[in-house]
Amino acid sequence: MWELLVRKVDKRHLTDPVNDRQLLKRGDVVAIKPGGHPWSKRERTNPEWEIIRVSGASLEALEHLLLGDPPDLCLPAEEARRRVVSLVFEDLKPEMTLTQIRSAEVVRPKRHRGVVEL
Amino acid sequence: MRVTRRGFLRTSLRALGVALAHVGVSWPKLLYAQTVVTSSIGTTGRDYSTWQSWEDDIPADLVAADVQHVGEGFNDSEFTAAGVVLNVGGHTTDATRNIIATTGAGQSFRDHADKATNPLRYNAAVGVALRKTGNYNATIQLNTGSTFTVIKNLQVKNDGSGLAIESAVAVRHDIDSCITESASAPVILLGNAATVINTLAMLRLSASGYGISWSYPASGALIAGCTVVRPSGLTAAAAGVQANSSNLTIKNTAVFGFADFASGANNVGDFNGSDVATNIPGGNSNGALVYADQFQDEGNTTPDFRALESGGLKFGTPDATNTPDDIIGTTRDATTPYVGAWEVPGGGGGGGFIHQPDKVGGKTGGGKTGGKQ
Repeated sequence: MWELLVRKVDKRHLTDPVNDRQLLKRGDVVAIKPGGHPWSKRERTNPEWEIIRVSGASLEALEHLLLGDPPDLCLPAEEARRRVVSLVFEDLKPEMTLTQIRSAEVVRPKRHRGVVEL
Repeated sequence: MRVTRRGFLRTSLRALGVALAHVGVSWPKLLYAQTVVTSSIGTTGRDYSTWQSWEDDIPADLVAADVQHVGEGFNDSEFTAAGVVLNVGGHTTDATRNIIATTGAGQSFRDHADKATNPLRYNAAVGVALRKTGNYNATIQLNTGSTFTVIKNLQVKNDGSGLAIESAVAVRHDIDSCITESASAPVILLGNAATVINTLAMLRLSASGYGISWSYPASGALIAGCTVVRPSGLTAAAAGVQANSSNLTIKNTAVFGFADFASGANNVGDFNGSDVATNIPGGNSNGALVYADQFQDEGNTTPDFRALESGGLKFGTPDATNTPDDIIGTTRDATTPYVGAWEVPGGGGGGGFIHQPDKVGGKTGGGKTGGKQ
């Protein structure tokens, strides 16, 4: 059993689109912890987060949900994704299987000089 | 979570505002108070149980809010994650309205009761420690935005195929008094006018890879009082510092276990020590030290990079601005501090010959603690 702390609403930067792209959005996984993790009161009650329990999964099967584009020379800042793979929040339930999580996954688009590449 | 206000000028203005309020004159609140929000991070009744949830809860524009956010780690347990343990990015910040990741009072390896005798290497038992276990990405990743983020007093290790600390190219971040370790190179990757002070960077990778690397250093980039090493059981290769630029100053820094001190001859700085002279900057540097003579244990099994009093690293130059003390807070010698992250308290030994590569090691001994423990 693993527990996913997932963003329920977009975190937005209202005046800087490059910075805005670096912030986690609805369906992005903030953290993955083993079942029974002592989440703090703030983490359990923050209206911007939801904790999803996933059964039948290894950590290796979930860790790609935390991967982002590394901040290196190959990818200009405005194109880097904070999370490469996100979850469709509407498809999430408090208790899920790995298969259900897989079906809720979506690859975030990569932006190339203003053009969205799917 | 603690919310405080700070700054002498701001405090003075605040006092003035209070005085004016007493006589019925209002004073705009925002003019005199920068807010500092301090949050605790740990697994025993803290504000947050993970570094990432702390970061995600920080507002996007710290300048507009005139606020600094400080995350204080508590050593309730080791902070481990399959992915990035702490990823900072997307915030509007400046030099004072920034993000600082550090430790709570008494929680760092710098605060441990046995800090002077603990081996200088990653050890989660002695202080707040962040370790990434899975593949890809760094343990701490500093993305675009959030410039001036400070990583301080932490232990940072990458057990997977990634760096310990990786920063975006265009932004400045500062690393201060940290123990960093990785088996992928470089251990630390920075950009712009970043600074690394009093930090151990240990690369546990054989035959390739840099210790600390810079992408396009800008004026003001600095490495001071650091120890950059590849343990001696591993094959030396590449350079300890990769950034062939006059924008990068390297001073009072020890580099051992690499094929070159730096990747080019354009760096500036002085008073550096190494077992290799290639591209070592400064006329007072010494590139002919014997690796095996400088540290408690330079091997890859139980490394301990506390400097030896009997070694040859005591020839640094005082730097009251950047390195008045060492990686555990020991006050540096006022006249001849040690080169590297570790200062031997009251050490009187060392003093290797300067720039005489044919005289390996120089004079040794004379101190109280002498050789390896």
